Amino acid sequence: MNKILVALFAAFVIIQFIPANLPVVVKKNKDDLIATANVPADIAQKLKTSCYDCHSNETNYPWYSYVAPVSFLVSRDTREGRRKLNFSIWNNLSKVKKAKYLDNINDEVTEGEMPMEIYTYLHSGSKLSEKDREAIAAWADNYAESLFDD
Amino acid sequence: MYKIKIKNFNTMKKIILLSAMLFTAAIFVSISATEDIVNNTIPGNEKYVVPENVQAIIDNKCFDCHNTKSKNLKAKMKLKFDKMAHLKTHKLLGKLDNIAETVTEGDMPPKKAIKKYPDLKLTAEEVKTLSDWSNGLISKIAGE
Ligand code: HEC
Ligand code: HEC
Repeated sequence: MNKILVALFAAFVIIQFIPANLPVVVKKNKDDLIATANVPADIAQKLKTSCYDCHSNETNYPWYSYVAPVSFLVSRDTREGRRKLNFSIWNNLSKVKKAKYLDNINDEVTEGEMPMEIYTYLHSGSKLSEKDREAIAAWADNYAESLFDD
Repeated sequence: MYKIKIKNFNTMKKIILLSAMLFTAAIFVSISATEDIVNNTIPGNEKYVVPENVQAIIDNKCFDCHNTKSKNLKAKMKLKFDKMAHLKTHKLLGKLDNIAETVTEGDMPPKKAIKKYPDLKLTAEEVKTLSDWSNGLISKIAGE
């Protein structure tokens, strides 16, 4: 029993030396969605608390995200999240790309797939209520529609 | 004033018949014209054009999961090919760009499904046909 605990502890110590390569944080992004588009304050605030850690360059890493093996998971989710949708480069996107991302946001929040469930356990206030989801979906749809004259 | 001389009864019959035909034709033309106007009120409708070769790929490799009656709820939620023509422009463009992206990156049909049904896999040519079609339609609609 003791041997197992010692082995586990040793493994824990050793994996701390494996670099997690957490994606770099950039706090000021001139092409950021909220900085450049006219996002209503309540929506902006919801996106910041529930999405920006994974979908922008402004990630806030809590202390435990530096501790392996959690660091590996955070690193992967942040990297994948930014690759799929990055609010920090918003103003550089074409209207069509914006329409696509807004459509995806609409789908993800309506289905309740985002924010990732594991994230909501660790970040109080990040879980979205049914009303929040509807508000974000409606915002995304209106914003996308306003980009094109039908 | 002119006076139309009708030589005989037969000519008379021909004229009546001809005007009746013209009248009927005019009605058809005006009906189909109103139909056009009615269709135009569904935004995006006339913009969503699917050539036969593209439709064949969609029918064979996408439609079963992506239609209004599909049992695959996740697939249905994201994309319904039988609803595309009724989407507003911004939605249509979003879906088309998603189609181009997913087929180019090899994300659709899902790898799991291909494992079970290898025939679902898109050939390189089909990927090109689908992405050329969606990108072409996007440029036509959005001018981008
Ligand atoms: C813990 C990190 C995390 C948080 C928080 C998070 N996401 Fe994500 N998101 C991801 C990852 C990882 C992916 C890519 C994998 C996937 O699609 O599941 C993703 C994918 C997406 C996609 C792309 C889906 C697609 O089909 O291409 C959208 C849109 C999205 N997220 C929106 C949101 C929104 C909106 C929020 C806030 C309400 C949010 N996410 C919060 C990690 C996160
Ligand atoms: C076996 C069923 C199946 C087939 C066949 C299939 N799909 Fe999908 N598709 C899905 C599922 C399930 C999802 C949802 C995936 C998710 O939510 O992560 C999806 C999602 C999508 C999306 C949305 C992606 C996104 O990130 O929002 C697009 C676009 C798509 N499929 C296009 C296609 C095209 C084009 C074809 C044919 C070449 C196709 N699909 C064939 C099951 C299928």
